Amino acid sequence: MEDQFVLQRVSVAYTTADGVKPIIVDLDLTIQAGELIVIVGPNGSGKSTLSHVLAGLSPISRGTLITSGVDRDDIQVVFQNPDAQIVGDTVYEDVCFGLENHCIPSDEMEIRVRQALSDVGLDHMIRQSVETLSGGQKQLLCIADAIALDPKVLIFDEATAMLDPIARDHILHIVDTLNKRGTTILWVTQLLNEIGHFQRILALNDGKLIFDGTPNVFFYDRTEFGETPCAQLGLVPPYSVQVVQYLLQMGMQFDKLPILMNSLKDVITEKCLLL
Amino acid sequence: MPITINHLTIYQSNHTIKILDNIHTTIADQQITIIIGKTGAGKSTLLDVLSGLTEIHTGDILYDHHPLWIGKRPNKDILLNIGNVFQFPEQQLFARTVAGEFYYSLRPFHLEKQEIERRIMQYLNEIGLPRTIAKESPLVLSEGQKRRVALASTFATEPSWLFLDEPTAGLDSNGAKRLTDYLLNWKKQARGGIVIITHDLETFLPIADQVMILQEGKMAANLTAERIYKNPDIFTEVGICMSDQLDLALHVRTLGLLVPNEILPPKQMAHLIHSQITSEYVHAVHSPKHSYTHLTSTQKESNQYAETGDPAAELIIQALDPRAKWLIYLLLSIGIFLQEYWGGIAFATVLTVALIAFSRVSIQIITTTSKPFILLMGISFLLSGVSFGPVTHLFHIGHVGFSFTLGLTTLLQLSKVLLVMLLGNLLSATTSQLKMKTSIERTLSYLSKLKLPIEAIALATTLILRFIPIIMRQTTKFARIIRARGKRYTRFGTIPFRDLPALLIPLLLAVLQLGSDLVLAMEARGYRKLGIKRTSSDELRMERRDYIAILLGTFALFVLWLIR
Repeated sequence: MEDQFVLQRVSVAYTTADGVKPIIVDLDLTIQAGELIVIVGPNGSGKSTLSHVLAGLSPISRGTLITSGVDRDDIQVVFQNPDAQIVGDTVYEDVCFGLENHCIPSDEMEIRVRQALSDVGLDHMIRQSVETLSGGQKQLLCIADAIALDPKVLIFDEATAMLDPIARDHILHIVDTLNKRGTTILWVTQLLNEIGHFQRILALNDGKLIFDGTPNVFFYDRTEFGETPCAQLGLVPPYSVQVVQYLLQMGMQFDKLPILMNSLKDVITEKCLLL
Repeated sequence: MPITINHLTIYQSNHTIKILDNIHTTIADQQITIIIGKTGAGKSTLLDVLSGLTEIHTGDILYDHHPLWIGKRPNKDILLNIGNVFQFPEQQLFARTVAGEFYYSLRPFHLEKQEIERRIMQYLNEIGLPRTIAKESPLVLSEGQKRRVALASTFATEPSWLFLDEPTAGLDSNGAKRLTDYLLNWKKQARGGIVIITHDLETFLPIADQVMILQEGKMAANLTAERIYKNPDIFTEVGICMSDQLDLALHVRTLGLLVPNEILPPKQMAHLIHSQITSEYVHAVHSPKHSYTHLTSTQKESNQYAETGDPAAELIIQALDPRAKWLIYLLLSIGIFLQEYWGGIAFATVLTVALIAFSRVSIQIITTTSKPFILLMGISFLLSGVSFGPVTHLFHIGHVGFSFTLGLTTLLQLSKVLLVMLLGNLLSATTSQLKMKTSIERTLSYLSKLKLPIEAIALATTLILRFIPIIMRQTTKFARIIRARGKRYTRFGTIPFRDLPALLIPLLLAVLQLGSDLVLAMEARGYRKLGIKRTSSDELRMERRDYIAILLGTFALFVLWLIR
């Protein structure tokens, strides 16, 4: 795998009335092509800013960011508020807006739009006015806008924060499919129960990268103080993880530690069948 | 004091679609009631109706046997006992200081200054903020602190009933825990109860006493929290996600393990699973009875929209080149302004109506913006007809008379403006904003040689049009919050002058936020610099039908010129 992004001692700071405010402090990070990464952290920890740095939307104050094999147009971002990123009047027009900006030839557009919309399941709404879409559908449209441009890297900046659980699950499912096709995924979130869908966690606090590893280590590895990295961050893990943590304390053995509720259910079923 | 809801039905503004359909139930006091359901099921409307923010169409609502509405106004004594926490309450802050937020929320209660100060200190303390924060501007606080200030300003009104709309949206799990602890404590002392709209069942199902499930405006279920365990199918039926706790409990039960009818904390659940699996308690493994996979939103909605197909594609007016439409609009407008007699106006009217009918655009869309103008026409007609002096008119009182001839002259002139206005509305209704933008760009492109920023003007026009409905929605939202905080009933869509800062400041901040998000999103979507090379999805090309249409437009102008 090639290193798509290499960040070396990257800092981002803003000048405010009260002086210089650091957002990201001396961050070292390498991201490879095709990774499925989730970025977590409390409000104001710098997780959104990190995603903007990677997307080339935020300047770096210090340090270096080296990208290879991707230029700026290969990175697409889906933000939290779809109303602030949809420009077109109809679904079709909105996907075209991005294609126009990237100088895609006119005769290629319709095929690309239809393909992208069918990938997110909105193909039947191609002529519909954007105002008639639900919040979840608007966010799906924003994803279609991005994938119509065939990006190598797709960044989601709290894209599901305003959605209900069903719409959220649907989008996570699409993200998984896109990753299987080889797209690098960076998913910024506040919701810990989304973590189980990803392979690597970056946890930020006060602009510092304080955890970089797998979800399993994040939720189940105990440090010398007997705390998990998740607990050290002061975060409450999802219900399924809490149950497994207690089961581990009670001495239950697991071949593979489940994180998502569905995996926990499967594990318990298996254990019952073994009896 | 319980709330009784009697056969409540609320219609959408067009009076045909029901938002709430015959809701008939009681909400008990000393309890936490949660309202769940898919987006658009009517949850927020129900809370608005309970809060006296929406008029009741049929049915009624009683607080402890007292009706919420007395005639055309809600009962103020009841309103004073209701505390609302809206979605993302941190957005409602506007006052110069944190204390100012409390003064604003407490204004309807006419309290002594001392009492207000006491409450500010008490509730800042309860919500976990330092007293010194009272003098600070709410706008410089962190998002988390802002939300707590908004919550505290509602709690400080010491209501009997607390209504919360998605209170954990955007909160991290720790913030959610703090909130539920506070609500449980509040419930013990309350004279009324707590009603919460939420998607967050993980957080609220464990503390709920009663669960109401709404589906398409109807009460699909109204159960005690324990009964929910016995009726898990209800979640699948209405298409909402079950909470993780419930999901696991039911799964374990289908495996043959014994699970009590309550929401178990993780430790107990782990203990239950562990003890029963290791003690070989399980006799038989039942295959799961229920399949908990849900239809995803798109699958459901695809059925709903499948019929719509491709309606815009077949309509001729919509498909015409926008430049052709501009030109025809210009020709017709000239023709209409040439008219001097009613005959010509009548012909022009027929022409306009025919075009509108042919376009199949809803007449409502075309006329909505013209309604004030029609009113103005009526007034102008009356005013210009009034004359003083010697009486020669049919209608007169003393020396003041009314001349139809004079009035009609004015009406004739104004009718021309009205027709041109209607045609303008038709033009914008049949042309999408992005097409309009392209056509402005193309038509005016030669001006860019004069260094005029044509592209910027065209894009700005598009975005303004795009954002008007969004800003309107925000305005409605903040106006609703003001009515809830002010405890005063005003006709919908109007707010008292002195409440203007409470509307304008949050609205301005919301618009600025939208603008800043937009700049970032535009950059991310590749619109980085004006004047960069772009392609167009819609190569504007004048086709045969465009030329025919222009020819017809010219002919219409010719006819209008003849009959003027």
